[in-house]
Amino acid sequence: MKPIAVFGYNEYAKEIASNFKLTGVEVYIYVIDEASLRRAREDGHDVELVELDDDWVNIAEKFDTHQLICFCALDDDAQNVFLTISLRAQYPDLFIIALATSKDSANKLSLAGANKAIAKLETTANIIVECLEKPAVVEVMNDILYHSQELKLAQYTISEGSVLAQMKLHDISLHREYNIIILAIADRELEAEFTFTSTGHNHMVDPGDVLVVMGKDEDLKKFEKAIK
Amino acid sequence: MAKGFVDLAYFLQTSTSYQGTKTFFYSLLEDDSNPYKRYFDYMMMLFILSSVMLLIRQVKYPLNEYAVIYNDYLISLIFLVEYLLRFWVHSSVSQVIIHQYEKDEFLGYRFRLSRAMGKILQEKWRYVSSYFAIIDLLAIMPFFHQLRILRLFILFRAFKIFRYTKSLQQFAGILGSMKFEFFTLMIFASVMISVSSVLIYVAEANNTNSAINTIFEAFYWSFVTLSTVGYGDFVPVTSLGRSVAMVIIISGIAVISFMTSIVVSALSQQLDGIKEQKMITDISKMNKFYLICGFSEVSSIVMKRLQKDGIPFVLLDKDPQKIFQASKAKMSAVLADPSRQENYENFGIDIEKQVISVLCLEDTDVQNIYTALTIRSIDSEVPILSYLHENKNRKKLSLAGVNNIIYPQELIGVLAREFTGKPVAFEAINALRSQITDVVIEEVLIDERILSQRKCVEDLKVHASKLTLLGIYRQKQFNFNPPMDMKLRDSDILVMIGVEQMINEFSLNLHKKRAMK
Repeated sequence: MKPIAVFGYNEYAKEIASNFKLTGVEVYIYVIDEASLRRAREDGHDVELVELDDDWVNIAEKFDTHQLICFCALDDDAQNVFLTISLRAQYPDLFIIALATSKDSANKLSLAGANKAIAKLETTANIIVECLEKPAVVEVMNDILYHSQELKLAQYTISEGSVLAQMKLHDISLHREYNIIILAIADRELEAEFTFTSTGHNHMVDPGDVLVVMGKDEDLKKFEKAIK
Repeated sequence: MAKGFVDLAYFLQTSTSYQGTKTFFYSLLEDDSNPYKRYFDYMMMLFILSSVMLLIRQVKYPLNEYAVIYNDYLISLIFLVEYLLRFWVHSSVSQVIIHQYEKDEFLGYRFRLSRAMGKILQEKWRYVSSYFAIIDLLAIMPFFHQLRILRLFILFRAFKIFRYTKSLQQFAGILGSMKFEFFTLMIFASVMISVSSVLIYVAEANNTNSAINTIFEAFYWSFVTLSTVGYGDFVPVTSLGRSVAMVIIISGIAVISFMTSIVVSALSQQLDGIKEQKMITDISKMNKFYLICGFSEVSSIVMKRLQKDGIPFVLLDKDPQKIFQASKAKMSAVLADPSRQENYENFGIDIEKQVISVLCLEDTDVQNIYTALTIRSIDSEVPILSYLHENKNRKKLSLAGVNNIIYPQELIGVLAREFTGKPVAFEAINALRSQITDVVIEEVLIDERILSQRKCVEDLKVHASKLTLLGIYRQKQFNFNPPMDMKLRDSDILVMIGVEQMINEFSLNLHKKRAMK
């Protein structure tokens, strides 16, 4: 598993850090004030106090920056943008996820070079509306996200010699044997261009495409082997 | 004789059919919440309009005999019946008699019929002398059409319109609240008119070049000039007369501007009250809605989304500025503290019947807990969803009776973990959930009607409809990727992925009866 670095230690950062720790990921925390430093230490994290206008060269000494995932979770949106842009300036390949208050700040963070900006307000509001209008969907999603059931979401990159390569999405029948649903297909990793199975029946599966599937844990493992 | 009255009074007071009829008419005539009152009012307005139109027509063209019968007899009769009904339901004669009888009995006196009659007359006179009752009575007058002058009383029918339209009544009420200002103004205007008409009469009456010859003409001229209308059919020609004219023109402008300012300030003072009244009636007419307590950053986004989807909701907040902001965005927002129980009664919100779910989205946990408790004390069943600001308050919120706690830090923590592990899968799910593309994840409820035609998953023909059936949600259990032969049950929820329109079409098709093979 890739290690993660979290910048800031507010309630959001705390939840992110503890979520990753639960799955056994190496978590390192950078804070910019004494109070956060104390709280992070109390919670038993590896933590370091840094200056916001640091040049961040010491990150490269500690981690392989091609493997590292950074979370920018400072309280202030402006500080977050500054942090994101400094990290990006130093490491063009670093994977950065930034938290923003609103959609507007999220756009700024994306412009500053964050690979993914999560707008806190909009995300929360969307979840609230979903709770009201589609309670069953929320239940299912919670089951999947919290892994409280064996049902899981997974993504597999189609390799060069895969049995699925050069097949039309509609013609794939392999997943039925394994009790798996193919939700969508994306042309390349990390690009938000999907074709959902329900619309793209004639989509050709190419090597390098990413398949988004859903199914039970053991079925997924068998399926992964089968499509190799 | 007195005993006969008491017996009759008791009989009427206990007779269910008599009381029922009386209540029916009372509610039809006076109770705004009676749904049929509106139609009754419309009908009366139609009679009034037709009557006035006939009056206009008969000025130049003689009416045919049916129109005369209609106008003089039929409408008058309808109005008479209405007048008598209102007279009847205004107060209860039998109740007054019984009350007097029981009082006298208690005190050991002989029953004093005259005293009871006095009270009855007093009550009924209160009705007869009321403003609306007088107009009603005058509107019946054209019935005696032999007296030509009474024809003009048809115009009083036009005044009757006031009775049937609420907004006109409100307007009259607003002007009525400014009685003192109007009175002062009228005193000023009448002093000006009387002084100036005497002066102009003295100056002009004996001048042969002047058209003003009588005191009435002088009064008429003063009135027309003071009102700033100034027809010009009478003009002063002497220097004194013209000087009077200059003074009265200036006072005329003062009177008119003063009058305008009175009306405007009365309107602006009452406007908020009228708007609030309208909001209350609108809310009490709403069928099912979400109750949102508190206008915060999150709730404003939630409301925008609900608004976009056309889902009804009502916002309560105690900050006038926030309510103003929400009203500007055309949301139904009420200025009321959501944590005060009496507000729900005052604003006609029936939580049990009208509210689907309550959302506590205020700025602090303290407020959310207080509001949640208030709601719980009114209704123990309604689902409450609350925003949690600090994790340490989670237990307090659930103790306050909140069913669904939203803690954004936790949600985002989980999302962040999911995203790093499988970004593509995460984005796909995110796109489905936040409805960025036209492909959505939706619920379709299985009901009796669908079950009568379709027994198992295969019958749904999901594949032919280009949709993905993720699973069936049944009694808190999610059955992922159900086998084709799985039996359907009532109130199963299908979780489907597909283009929104196609899902809607699919759901409609399920409800359609198919030809039995």
